[in-house]
Amino acid sequence: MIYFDNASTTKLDNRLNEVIYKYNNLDYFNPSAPYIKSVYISQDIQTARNNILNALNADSNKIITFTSCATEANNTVLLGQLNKRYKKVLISDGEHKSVYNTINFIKNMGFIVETVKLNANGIVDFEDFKIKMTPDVGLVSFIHVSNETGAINPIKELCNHAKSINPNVIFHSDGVQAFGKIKVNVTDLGVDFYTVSAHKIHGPKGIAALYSKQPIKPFIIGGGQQNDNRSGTENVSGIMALGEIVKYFDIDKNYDYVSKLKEKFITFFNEKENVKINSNSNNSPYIVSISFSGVNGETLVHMLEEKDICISTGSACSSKKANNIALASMGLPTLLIKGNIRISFDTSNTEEEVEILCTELYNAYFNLYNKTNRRQ
Amino acid sequence: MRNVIIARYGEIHLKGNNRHYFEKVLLDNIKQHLSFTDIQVEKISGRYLISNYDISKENSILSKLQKVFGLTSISPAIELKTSKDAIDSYIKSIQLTGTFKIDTTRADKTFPIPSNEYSPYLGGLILANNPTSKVDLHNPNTIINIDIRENSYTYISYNKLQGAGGMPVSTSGKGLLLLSGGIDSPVAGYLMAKRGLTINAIYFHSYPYTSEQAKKKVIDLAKTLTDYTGKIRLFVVPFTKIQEEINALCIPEYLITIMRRFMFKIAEKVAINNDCSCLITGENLAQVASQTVQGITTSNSVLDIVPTFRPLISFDKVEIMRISQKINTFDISNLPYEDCCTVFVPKRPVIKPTVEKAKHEESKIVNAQELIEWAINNIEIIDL
Repeated sequence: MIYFDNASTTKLDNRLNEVIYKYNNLDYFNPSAPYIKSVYISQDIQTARNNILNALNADSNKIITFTSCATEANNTVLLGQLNKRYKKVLISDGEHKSVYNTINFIKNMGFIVETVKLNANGIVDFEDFKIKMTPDVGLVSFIHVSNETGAINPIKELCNHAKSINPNVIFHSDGVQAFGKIKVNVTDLGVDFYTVSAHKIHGPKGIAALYSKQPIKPFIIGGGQQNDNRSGTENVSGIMALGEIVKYFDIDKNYDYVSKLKEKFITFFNEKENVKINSNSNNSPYIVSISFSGVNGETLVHMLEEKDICISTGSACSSKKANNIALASMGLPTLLIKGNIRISFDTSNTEEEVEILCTELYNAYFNLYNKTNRRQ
Repeated sequence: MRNVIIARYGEIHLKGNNRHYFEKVLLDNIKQHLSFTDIQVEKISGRYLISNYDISKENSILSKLQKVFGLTSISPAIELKTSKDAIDSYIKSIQLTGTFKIDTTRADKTFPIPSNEYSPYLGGLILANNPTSKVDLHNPNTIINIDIRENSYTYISYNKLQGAGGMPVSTSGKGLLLLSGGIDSPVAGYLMAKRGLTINAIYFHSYPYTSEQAKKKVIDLAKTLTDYTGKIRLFVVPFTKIQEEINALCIPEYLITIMRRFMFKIAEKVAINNDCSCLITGENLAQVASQTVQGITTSNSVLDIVPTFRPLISFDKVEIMRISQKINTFDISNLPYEDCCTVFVPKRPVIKPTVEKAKHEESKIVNAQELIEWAINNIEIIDL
């Protein structure tokens, strides 16, 4: 099997097996219990927190709140940290569904939500942002690296601008596709909240973390764990695995390696007719969005599945509508949205795999195009 | 005294000499629907008595019984050995507020008090013990049914739940439902099962144009239907090659017409091979472009033997959606996965196709027979 859907999830790093085993089978104590074994666990959790703060280049006095997934972390900010003094919330058209789909909920809470357009490169359109970023905006959430196209938002500039208009604005960024893949320095970015997830970086599923400058308003209420930031018994083995995996980050080396894979892929498709690459050289090398005109992207995914190659659709398309908000905001015509797929690379992929992917993908497109477009 | 459930049937009463057959099938169907738990079912004078069950499962049993075609009403009840003292004593223990009415049926004529005298008497007992309650014979909050049967038992029940109505599944034979992932076809299957048909279903799968999720959606729809229909055998036909050939060789306007004709041809063969005496479709007049009289005629004309039942032919979409919601298929049908009908959609499908033109277009697919046979030989059977 050749796996090019690493933005969806990644294989667990075997080096984590030991730590996961340890905290499920040997040191399985509830960190909130009063005996000494539990106290040790809570100290271990603190070490994991420090490791993550370190990986984020954050000050050690900042806060890491562990959540069950990045969706929960994003919901915690979007639904839990709103300030009633300010009536407006800004997000972009390029947000992950765990942010974008909170819109109606936020509106029902009495706020106004505006979405900022993306430019043709897939990043937040600064001009549109300037217009919409008014002093009554209380919360802004922009994704750091797009899960659709790999476009990297200039979070620092966006955050600076937001704070210059309303110094009290809460600025959140979903860093799930950035953390461990590109250099992240939350101190430099200036954000108030930043979301990361373990399973996108070879950690286990079921554990994510929310960085914050200040204690958060609790979104999950209960026994007061994690200093009341997020109640519920901690997923200790998940936390320890996340705390461990960040120690293995080798961002520069991996970035260079994956960039070569991306380059190989793009070189193959660059000159091909009816093919459009929706990612440019400034984007994260880990994700490439590519559109094949005149076919359905999902069918391509299934055709590659038959060749034992896993890729992803950029969007859930139906024949009647192409509903990829990010690509539509970038100005892509419906035909290219419908024929869109997403390739996401990892250091475990090889150049040979990329060659096979290119050949099989192009053959699939060629066959599919001929079968479906002969007469229309 | 014990808790029992009384299930009543409707139209079967109208049957003559073969009534026992219908009663027997309905009994078997009740047992099948309640096979998830231990129960005892017996037929007592024109109704079924369900007893010896775990009382904590009573609500589940009632809900299952409401989905058995042939039953018109279902009541949880108390069974007493018939005696005036026992009935009086139980009635005295009833606590209720608001308005009520007592409805007594005295099938056991050896019981000494006629029902028109016994009802007011029992009403008096309730009033004495429940000062806030009041009799209302026309529009009561609670109707207390006292059913004094010939089997020396009396059944007292408070509420009558509506049954699914119709005829017991399988008493009308077996039909093959053309099941897509849409809203209409599951409803069509439900309605024909209501008239006593055992349902088999056929689904045309066009992988990789349609996803495995689309197939799973159809399996889930069929599985949901089994709540009403009992077991369903689902035939999954590999349809990709046929669709590709149609798309390659026939004029775009006729793609859907020809595709439907192939589906009907295959469905008829599958029906005959599996003892299904009719096809069932969710077709409706005028809902979409292919559903004109001419469109239906052109696809129907490929059938040699079996009839096609189209129970939704005159329904408005909202009426279909309402039933779909009632039988819990609506949310599944609304999942976004495409079915084979939406893979090759021409810009302008023909509104009024003709049989002659369809045949002419079809004749371009010279290996049609071979393709059909291959598809039938490679059917996947899923028993739900």
